[in-house]
Amino acid sequence: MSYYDIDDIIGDSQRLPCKFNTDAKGLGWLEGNPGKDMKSGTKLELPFWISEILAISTISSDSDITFIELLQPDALNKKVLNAIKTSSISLDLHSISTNYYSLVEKWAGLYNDEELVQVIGDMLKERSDEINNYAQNFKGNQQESGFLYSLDEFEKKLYKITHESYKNLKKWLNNQ
Amino acid sequence: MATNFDDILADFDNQVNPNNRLTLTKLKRQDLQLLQTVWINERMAPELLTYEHELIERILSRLRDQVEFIELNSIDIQNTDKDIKLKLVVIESELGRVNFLLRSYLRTRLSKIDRLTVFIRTSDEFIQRLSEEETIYMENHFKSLVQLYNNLFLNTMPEQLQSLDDESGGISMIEQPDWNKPVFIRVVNDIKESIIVGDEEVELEKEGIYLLRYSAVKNFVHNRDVVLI
Amino acid sequence: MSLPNDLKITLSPQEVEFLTESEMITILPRYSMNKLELITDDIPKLMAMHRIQVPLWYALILKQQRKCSIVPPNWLNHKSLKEFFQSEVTELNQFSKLPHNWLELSKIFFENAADDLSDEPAKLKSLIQDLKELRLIKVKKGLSLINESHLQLDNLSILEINEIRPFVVEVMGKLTKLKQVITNEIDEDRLEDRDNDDDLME
Repeated sequence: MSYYDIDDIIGDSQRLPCKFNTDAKGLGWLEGNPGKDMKSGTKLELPFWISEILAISTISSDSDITFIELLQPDALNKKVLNAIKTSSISLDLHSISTNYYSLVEKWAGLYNDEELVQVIGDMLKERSDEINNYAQNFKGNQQESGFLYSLDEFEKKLYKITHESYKNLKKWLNNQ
Repeated sequence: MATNFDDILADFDNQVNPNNRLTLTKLKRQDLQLLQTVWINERMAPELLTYEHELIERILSRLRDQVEFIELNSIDIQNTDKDIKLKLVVIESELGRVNFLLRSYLRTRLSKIDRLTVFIRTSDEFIQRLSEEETIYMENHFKSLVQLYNNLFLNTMPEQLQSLDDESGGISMIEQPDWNKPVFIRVVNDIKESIIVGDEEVELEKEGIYLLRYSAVKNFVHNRDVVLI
Repeated sequence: MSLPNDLKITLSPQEVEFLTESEMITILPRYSMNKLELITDDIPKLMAMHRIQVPLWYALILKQQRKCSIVPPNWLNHKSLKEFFQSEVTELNQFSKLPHNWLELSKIFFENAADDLSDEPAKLKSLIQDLKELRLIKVKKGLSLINESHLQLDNLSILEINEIRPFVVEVMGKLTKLKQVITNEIDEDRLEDRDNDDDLME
């Protein structure tokens, strides 16, 4: 992760579901109860940059209990992963998460989840192959735009620079 | 048969020491080759490489001579050399090509220096890689940048949030070269030992073309056993 | 900016062409001219109808002024290109040994010295195009082997590398990054003298 990288910053602001392990004074506004306290056990979504810290910080130095517990996001549940394994190319990744790969990196990093990395690595290989095909032969048809809408932000950028490169060479070959 | 005074001199020169001229020509070609190599290396490497001081000096000195030649011959329209017009076209074209290479080389370095300023300033090794002019540029640019940041917003921040090189809190503010960036290489010299990339052992065959992470071949790029392409 | 963003990730085709223009080519001058001292070369004395090797950019200036013809390289003819195409078809797992600048050099010939070619330029052009397309299909097939470690692509020309560079660099970079989040790798930069940073990944 790099300090000034805008993609990293956006990735860091993704919200993760979490559960409070302790009462939090005056934080009721987070769940729509301004002025009230938040009860232990409350579930809500917090941006990664804060949930990550709260999930590893203990409520006091002599306790094992952390402020919050991270819950598995829907984007990484069994159903989605199975869908990825069976037909990654037809998957609408964008609607699952706009920054899917960055979510995976963060989650897998926290939990050292090798299997997740394996599954997503394979997905990347399959989907990037398709991205490469579309980027090479831009037609502007409906099937194409459907595919492009299903890309997450990393994949979109990949498509863009790939397409740009094919285009530049074609232009040069045709003296344009 | 030599047809003019210059040729007679040149022929004489070659008779006295036939290797002289040839060696200089060879050196010129080598320098061009080298300049092209370091240009592409610099373009593709994620880190800032060592400034090619001697190479650039040699080329600049020849370049100055050439500019002098143009000036002398452009004024003297009555030049006896019937080819002077064509010669000037050729000389100016070459000048343009050398100019392009030098510029692109320097601009590539400047763009890295801008991005990696804070990192470079923390490392003696990297400071050594800059030319004198680049160091001056970097320091002045950094000074203006810090001043701008301060005037714009940093001054209004609490003191502990004012620094630009904070490394605490899980993420460093100091942007590093992306050491693991994949690069294309061509192996130009024999490399005996195999290298480890990820979980794999890779043997680099001479003349082979590979795509792999920069950190695995960094030292070979430095000693030019491989070139980036 | 000191360097445009797209030039930070790749070379432009024009830059690759520039490099090819620095290479030597044989010409047949129709003109005699005294030697010429340059910054990056010395051009020996030209004698009419005596073959000589000169940098391509120089040859192109003479050609423009009809002062020479350029000798095509030995592969830029119908017969050789056919053979190259055949070997691309039969050897599906490797690239034929076309020179590293075949695309640029052939384009330069078609545009500046088509009259020096021994075969019909249009036919050569379409053969070059066929080769280009076939090789790209093979490149893309080869890319399916991509992993976070390495890929070997011998005999691929610089321009062909350049075409796929942004794509493969980005994909391989991402695979590397994914793998790294689950391995406690030590930062390379903190260990300046190590050749690589993956010994711990076993």
